[in-house]
Amino acid sequence: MSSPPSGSRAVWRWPLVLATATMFGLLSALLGEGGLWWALSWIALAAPLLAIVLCLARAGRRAD
Amino acid sequence: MSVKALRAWCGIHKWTSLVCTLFLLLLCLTGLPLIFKDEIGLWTGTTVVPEPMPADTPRISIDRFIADARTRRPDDKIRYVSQSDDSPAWYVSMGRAADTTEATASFKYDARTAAMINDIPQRQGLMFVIRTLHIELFAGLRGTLFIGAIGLCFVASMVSGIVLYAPFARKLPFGAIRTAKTARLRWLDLHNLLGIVAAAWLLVVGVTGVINTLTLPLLSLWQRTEVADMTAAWRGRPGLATFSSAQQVVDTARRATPGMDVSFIGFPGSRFSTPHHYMVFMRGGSALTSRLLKPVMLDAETGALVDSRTLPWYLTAILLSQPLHFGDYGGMPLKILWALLDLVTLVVLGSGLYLWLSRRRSPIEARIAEWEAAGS
Repeated sequence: MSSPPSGSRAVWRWPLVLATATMFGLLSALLGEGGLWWALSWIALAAPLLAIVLCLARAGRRAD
Repeated sequence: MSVKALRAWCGIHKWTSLVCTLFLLLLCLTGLPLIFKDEIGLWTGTTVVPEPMPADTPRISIDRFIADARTRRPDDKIRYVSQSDDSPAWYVSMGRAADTTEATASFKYDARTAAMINDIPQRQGLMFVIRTLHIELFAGLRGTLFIGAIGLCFVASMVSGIVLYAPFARKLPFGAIRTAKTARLRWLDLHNLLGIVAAAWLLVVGVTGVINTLTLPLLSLWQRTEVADMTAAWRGRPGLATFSSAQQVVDTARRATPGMDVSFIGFPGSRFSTPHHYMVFMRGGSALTSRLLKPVMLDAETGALVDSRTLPWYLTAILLSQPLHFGDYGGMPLKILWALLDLVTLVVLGSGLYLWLSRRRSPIEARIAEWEAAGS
């Protein structure tokens, strides 16, 4: 069950990107003053949902 | 990861998930309408907003409507008086005693006319049932603490799920769903995808939810330590029959905290004050500081300023964890994102339950071999 370091880094790339986007989105609306920070928060928090939609769409295309 | 370690993490993930899944389904289902409680209140007419008037219309003394509330329920005591943060209105919350956790009435007053605009129904309606299920399962503080323990199980389940993500997803491209294989593998891939993508949000909402369950115990800890310390000179004195003017107290508190406004006033004898003191909780003006409160303690006999300290870290932690659990701090788009992530959570829970039901008799080695083979 051991894995090469390069493989274990690759498996965490997207989860880390999406977790960072989520944390930024959660904090920017809380710490920032309205306006731009709210918009950035919405975009950042939409990132994980967009990732789900894209992965499901890709799986749907493969299944056809 | 060794097979031994993998087996241990699988065990942790299975058991912590089994303990919390059904309760978490309930929390997600009841949490969904709670995200939109303000909108639902306006839509169903249970929330009444004051009539529009010019923004510079002067506000009337709060003593006016406090007296009105006392006349409406002469046998009850005022617990606290809070200011609306989005409209010129105040709420007066009453109970059989000042220190009860249960309100007998909550009146909403127009801040400019002192007119009573809404006698908010207590302990009735669908939203009350949903809220009580979510917060305490109709079992009071014990129910709340039980939900906190369930929340801890959920956090352990998330951590073990994240640890298990690598060995099971390592051989696949990110987010791959093996649609051509068995239904079980499809659901496993979906479970892994949704769980890892929403992991940060799930952990934040889970941890802040657990913190929120500790509100009442931590409030009484603060009472027993800092508040007791601030009011040592008044200990043992008999309770007051009448209190000094609340408006005067508010004016004094505002002068003591420039740039801040009143969030709520803990009335003498309530859980937020002492039998001899008003505690006025002031909030700041920015997005962040409007969530944080600064208590100002005033003598309920003379109205004089007694003390003002910052809240201890554990109560500040609760105040900061509230928005991060409710999702109510970034307008309607944030609420919609919160709702969508809640729906994602429901699928993670449902697929996890399916995975357990469909294969619970197979030994872990057989499953590992199956996933390894399918992934290679």
